[in-house]
Amino acid sequence: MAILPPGVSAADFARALQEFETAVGKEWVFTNQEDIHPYRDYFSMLKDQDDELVPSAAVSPASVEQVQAVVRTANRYKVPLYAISTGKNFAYGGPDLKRMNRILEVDDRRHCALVEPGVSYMDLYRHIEERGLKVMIDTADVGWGGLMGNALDRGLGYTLGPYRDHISAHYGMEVVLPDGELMRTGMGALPGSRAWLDYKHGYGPDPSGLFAQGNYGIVVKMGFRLMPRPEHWRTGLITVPRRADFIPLVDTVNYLTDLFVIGEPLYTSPLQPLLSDPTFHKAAVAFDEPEMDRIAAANNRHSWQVELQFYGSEKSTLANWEWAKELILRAVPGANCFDGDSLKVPVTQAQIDETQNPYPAPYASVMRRNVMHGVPKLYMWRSPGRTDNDPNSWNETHIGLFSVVARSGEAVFQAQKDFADVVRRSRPGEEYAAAALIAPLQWHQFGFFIGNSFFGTATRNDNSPEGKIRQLKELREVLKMNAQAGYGDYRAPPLLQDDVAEQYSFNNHALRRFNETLKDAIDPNGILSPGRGGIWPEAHRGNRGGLRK
Amino acid sequence: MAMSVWGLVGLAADANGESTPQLARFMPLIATKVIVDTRFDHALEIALEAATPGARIIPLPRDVFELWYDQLVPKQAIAPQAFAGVTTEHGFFTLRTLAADHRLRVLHVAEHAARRGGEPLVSWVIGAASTSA
Repeated sequence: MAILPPGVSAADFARALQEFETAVGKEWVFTNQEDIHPYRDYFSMLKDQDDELVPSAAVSPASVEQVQAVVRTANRYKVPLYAISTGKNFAYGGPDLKRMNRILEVDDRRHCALVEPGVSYMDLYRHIEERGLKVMIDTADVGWGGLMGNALDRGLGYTLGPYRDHISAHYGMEVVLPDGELMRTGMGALPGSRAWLDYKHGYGPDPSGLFAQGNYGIVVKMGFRLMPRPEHWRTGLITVPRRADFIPLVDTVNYLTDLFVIGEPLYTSPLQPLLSDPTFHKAAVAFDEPEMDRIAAANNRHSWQVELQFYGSEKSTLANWEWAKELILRAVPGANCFDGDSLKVPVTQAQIDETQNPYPAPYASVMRRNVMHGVPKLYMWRSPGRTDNDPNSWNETHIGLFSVVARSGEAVFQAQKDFADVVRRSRPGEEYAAAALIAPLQWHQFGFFIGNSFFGTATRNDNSPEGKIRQLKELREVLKMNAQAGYGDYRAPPLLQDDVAEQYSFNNHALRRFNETLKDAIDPNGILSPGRGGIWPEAHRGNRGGLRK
Repeated sequence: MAMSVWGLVGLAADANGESTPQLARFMPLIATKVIVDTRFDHALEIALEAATPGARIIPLPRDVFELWYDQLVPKQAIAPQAFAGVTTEHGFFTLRTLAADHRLRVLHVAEHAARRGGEPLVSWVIGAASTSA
């Protein structure tokens, strides 16, 4: 027998299921264990334990009207729903929108698309390729994910800034509200508008931001800006010798980024292999900059590298690369600049698969060409090794902690020290030597993300139920310590949403109180994704933090 | 007869990793395409032992997207055909997840111990729930 949703009687749940079947067809309402198995989180830290989040049932509507009917039924019986787009987030069942998979429009002159929730990156990529359209997508690592679901969880990509921040690239939404009403945002609110995908704000307050990491409605259509296909793609590598050179390096790359000259820059430290040298290890633990610089120089390695990518024509990318070199040499006279790839676009499959390093040792490219060219793949799924029968590496991937850090070299250095301190406090006697070499991720145009990889890898061999719970508790403490040091995470799985929301507590949680006031007004029965984003409707507010063991 | 994966999960190999008649009995009936992780010699051995004579052996590519869209479940297919495989858990997971979008189910799965330094493998059949077996 399925587990009943909280506060719903068996009789009411049975009636609700019956109405769902009437709305979407019996074969698209899933209640037996085999059918709802995919809606569990295969990699949950609480897998097969009493507190694991499990769905009571799943329903898969195929149209907006069916979504509306499902929502109205849910309201009638107060059955909470948790909407998913393509169903590849592997957590929490609910309305599964993957049957709504129409690509409604792709315009390669205005550079935009309108899609339904079930459209995956691969679906849109193939649609564009089959028609020879002159636009490209910005894909997530794992190409079976949906554009809409990823954007609504504030997922990010790899190309130019305005496109790789997927929620910022959205232009217009159609939303089923908790009472079943249909609403459009932006120019879509104007009946007969032909500019829905051209101006996202419309007139007056734009509520579209409420639907990202929120629970105010089910988005059933969404517009996206698409990057026009460039003629050429070029890469180059810059290295800087001293640790302190990272500060002007970031300043220079910020300048190029904010002039929209480069796509995602990829920072890393070529000093990682030196951590196995006890002398360097000791210097790294102590953040002993002169000693780290001395050992780096003795090993003929520069301290930092950043790989740049340019989209444009052959001439413009070359001119921009030459300009980037000029800027960095002006800021850091000892920098090295190495030419990378120079490829006509569209690139071939063979070029995407090419793995030869274009740079001289010990420097290496860290670019994955497929995502830089908007070509969805699944191989990334293989690298973390996550399968439902082999969840051993669960904490290497999406459970990782990624804190938002200010986009400057000084802020990165401070974060390195703060994260090392979190490790010391969390694990007395242990040191996080690699902290001194953590490089920021610039998935977002204007902000850095830094992961505290210590907690993502150091404990992964303990996969016993007790070990997982211990790690879950530790992650929760780490989130608290991060917040105390001024760092907040940008994303969280359902199990940690309350913990991350707890970080954003300015003025006695004024933001959360505002969000929940809205929630109660819009969704009085609290049927849509209670708890998502840390926002609990009144009917379920007592469950806040209840997912803790 | 429709089969549930959960009723069939189990070791279909002895301690030496030799497949049992269970697999040989099952795979030939419905699957004419067999996806094989050819990085492992024993994957091919298991597949050849179990598959229908004439079944098409398809090497599992590094990335399964093209295989999925172009060969296993092309857009024009009215009713996706059953297919089988001998792969690692990773490959199996990816394909069964894609298959679930089309209401295809795992009809059979069996584990095979590692041989000659390779990884443990699984043999499996994915098809419509109503596929006869």
